[in-house]
Amino acid sequence: MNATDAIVATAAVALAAAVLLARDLRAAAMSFVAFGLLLALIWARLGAADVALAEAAIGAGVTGALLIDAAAQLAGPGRRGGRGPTALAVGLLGGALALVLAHGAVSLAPSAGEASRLVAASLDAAQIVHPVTAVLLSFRAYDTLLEVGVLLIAVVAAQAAPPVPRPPLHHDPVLARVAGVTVPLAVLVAVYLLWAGATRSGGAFQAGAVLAGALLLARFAALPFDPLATRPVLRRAMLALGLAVFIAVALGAGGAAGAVLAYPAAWTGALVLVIEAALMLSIAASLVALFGVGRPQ
Amino acid sequence: MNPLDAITWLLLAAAGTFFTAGTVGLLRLPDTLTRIHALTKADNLGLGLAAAALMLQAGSWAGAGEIALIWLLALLASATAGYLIAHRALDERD
Repeated sequence: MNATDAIVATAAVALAAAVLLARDLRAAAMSFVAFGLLLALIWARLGAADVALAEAAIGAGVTGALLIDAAAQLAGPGRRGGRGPTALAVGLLGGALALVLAHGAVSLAPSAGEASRLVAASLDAAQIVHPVTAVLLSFRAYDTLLEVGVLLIAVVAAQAAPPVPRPPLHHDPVLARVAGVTVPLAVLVAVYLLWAGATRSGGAFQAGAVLAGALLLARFAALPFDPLATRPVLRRAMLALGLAVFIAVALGAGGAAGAVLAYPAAWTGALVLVIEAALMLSIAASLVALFGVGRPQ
Repeated sequence: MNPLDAITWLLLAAAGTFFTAGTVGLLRLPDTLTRIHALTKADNLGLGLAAAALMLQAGSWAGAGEIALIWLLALLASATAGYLIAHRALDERD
C-alpha cells in the first residue's frame, strides 16, 4: 500500500461514517454516491476493472440516484428515522453480518491465487477469452441465472407497491437538447460495454446500468421516444427477456451439449453474447422499473 | 525532470488550486446560486487543467483524444446540472 492507497482508503472510511452519521437523509444519500465512486476507485487500483465499472454504474450511479429520489420522497430535510431500540437492533445485526463477511473474506484470501490459476487454466476449455465473463457465464453460470431470477422477483414485488405520486415532468428545452446528445451516446456506450465484455472488462450488468441511465434521462427530459412508458407489453417483455433467454439457452444448447448450462464448443461465443444482450435489456428495464416511474400514472 | 513532466506537474498544481477554490466556495458562499457559480466555474477549469496534464502523459494521440472527449462530456454534464439546479433555485425563490 502506498500513500495514494492510504489516502483513498481513509477517505472511503470517512465517507462511510458520513453516510451513517449525516443528520439529513439527502446528505446521507449524496455521501453514499461519493462513497461508491471512491469504492470504484479502490477496485480499479486493485486491478478489478469489471467490479470497478459495476460499482461506478450500479453502486454509485443507479443506487445513488434511487436513494436521492427516495430521500426526496420522504419529505423535508432533518428527518431521519430510527434512533430507538429498532435502530440499535438493526445496527447490531448489520455489524455482526459485516464481521462474519470480513472473517469470510480474510479466511478466503490464501486460496484466491489458486482460484485465479484454475480459471486461467480452464479458459481454453471454456472457449471464452475474458476470465470474468468465463466465471459469470460458464463456470458459475448457475449463480448468474439465479441472480437474474432474484432481480426479476424483486422488480415484480416492487411493482406491487402503489405508484408514488410525482409532479408532472415539464419540458425543459435545455435539458431536452443535452439529452438529445447524451442519450444516444449512452446507448452507444452500453452496447460497447456489452460487446467489449466478451474480451475485456464490461458485460451485461455494466451495460444494463448505463442503458437504464439513458432511458431515465430520456424520460426526465421528456424526450418523445419513451417506449417503456407507453407500451406496457413491451415493458413486461423486456423485464422477462433476460431470464427467458438464459433458461432457453441453458436447456436448448445444454441439451445439444449434453448438460444443462453447457454450451456446444463452436457456439460458445455467440450464445454468451445472446444471453448477455438479453440480460442487458432486462437489467436496464428492471432498474428503470425500480424508479417507480416505470409505469404511466 | 523532462520538460513534459514539468509542465504536467505545473498543470496539476494549477488544477488542485482551482479545485480547492471551488470547494471552499461551495462550503463558504451564502446561497445556492453563488455556490453553483463556484462549482461550475472553478471545478470545470480545474478538471480541464487536470485533463490537459493527463493528456500530456497519455503516450498516444488516441489516448489523449479519449481524455479530451471525457472532459467535454463532463463539461456538458456539469453545465446542464448547474443550469437545472439554478433554474429550480430561482423557481423556489419566487
